[in-house]
Amino acid sequence: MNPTEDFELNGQSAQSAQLSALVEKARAGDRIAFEKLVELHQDEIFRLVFFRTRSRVDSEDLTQDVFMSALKYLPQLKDSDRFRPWLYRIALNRVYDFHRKNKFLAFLGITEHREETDIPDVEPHRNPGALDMVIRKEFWSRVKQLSSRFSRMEREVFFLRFVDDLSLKEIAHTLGRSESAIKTHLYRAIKKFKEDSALSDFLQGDWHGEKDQPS
Amino acid sequence: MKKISHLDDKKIIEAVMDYTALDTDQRRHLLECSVCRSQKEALEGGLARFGQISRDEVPIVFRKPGVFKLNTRGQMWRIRLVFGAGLAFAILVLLLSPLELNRDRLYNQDVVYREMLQDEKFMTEIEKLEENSLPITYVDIGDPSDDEKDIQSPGNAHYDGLTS
Repeated sequence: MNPTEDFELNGQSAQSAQLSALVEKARAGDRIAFEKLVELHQDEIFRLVFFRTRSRVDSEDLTQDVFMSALKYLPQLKDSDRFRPWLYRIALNRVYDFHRKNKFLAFLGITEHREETDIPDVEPHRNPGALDMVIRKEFWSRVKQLSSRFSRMEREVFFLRFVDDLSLKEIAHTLGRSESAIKTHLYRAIKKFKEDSALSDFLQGDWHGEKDQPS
Repeated sequence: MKKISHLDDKKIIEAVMDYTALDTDQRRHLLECSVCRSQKEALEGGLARFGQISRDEVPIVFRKPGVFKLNTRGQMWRIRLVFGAGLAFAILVLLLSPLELNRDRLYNQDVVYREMLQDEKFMTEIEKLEENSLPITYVDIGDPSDDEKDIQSPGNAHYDGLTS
């Protein structure tokens, strides 16, 4: 192991130790520690929810729900090292509940059901031009095509790994499966991604995300 | 000449998923073989771009979750304790309230009785005044001999100063 890797590992373990300490404090009733945990994870939970609901308002409400549930059930968390996957699991369950409820309401004709792969109802943080809008539409239609080829588990594992940036171990804890099962699903998903030449071509194209990245 | 065996698609995907899953020979090959390395890097790049574009689609500014009060076990017990004490106090008040009402009733009866006595006394005084409207002091200041003279009869009056 080279010194850089060693340093990175030390940094990661220090971070996870700090996180565990915060979780322990929050479990003991430290409000500030819990607020800190919320602050640390709110962006990634919002991202996870938004990517699966494509609605800003719903994502905001669900993010709030996720942290309310976390607050309620935090004393039941046995291993403070597993806080992040535990939080992701709550978030995913909330998203499933949301889609289930929407499907039911759509069935009753009360509301319109949004698919997980629909184009988001808000603009990204950049101010998009007309071309950007076309590219976005194209991207989401490609994502929709790819998702339709995935099984539910493959889709979840794939997005958790490459969009939410979770490690294999964290995904296993989040979805309550063994690491080898996760690897199998991920392998199949990556294979399908690799075979999707249209998406590969699209990703190799001139995407605004790289040129106009906010510094 | 030694035949070069490149990593197949499966191994490339495995290398992308978990580099440590490859054995030593495969890792060494990946380090040395530019063809396999570029395949792996292309796949990694594609996945990274996919993730980056997806993340860019998420709005940065959003309504942050509110600040909550921690409902930990300790605090829950404290709340229960306060609630219990409040409940006990309310029960105590309810239990004592009939006594309090009785006490009020007794107090009221006493006051009414006293007022009745005072009224009776007052009525007696009025009756006395009706019988003799002038206070006793005014009755006593007159000359007792005047009682025998009839000042209303002119023939009997002694007005010495007027009869010249």
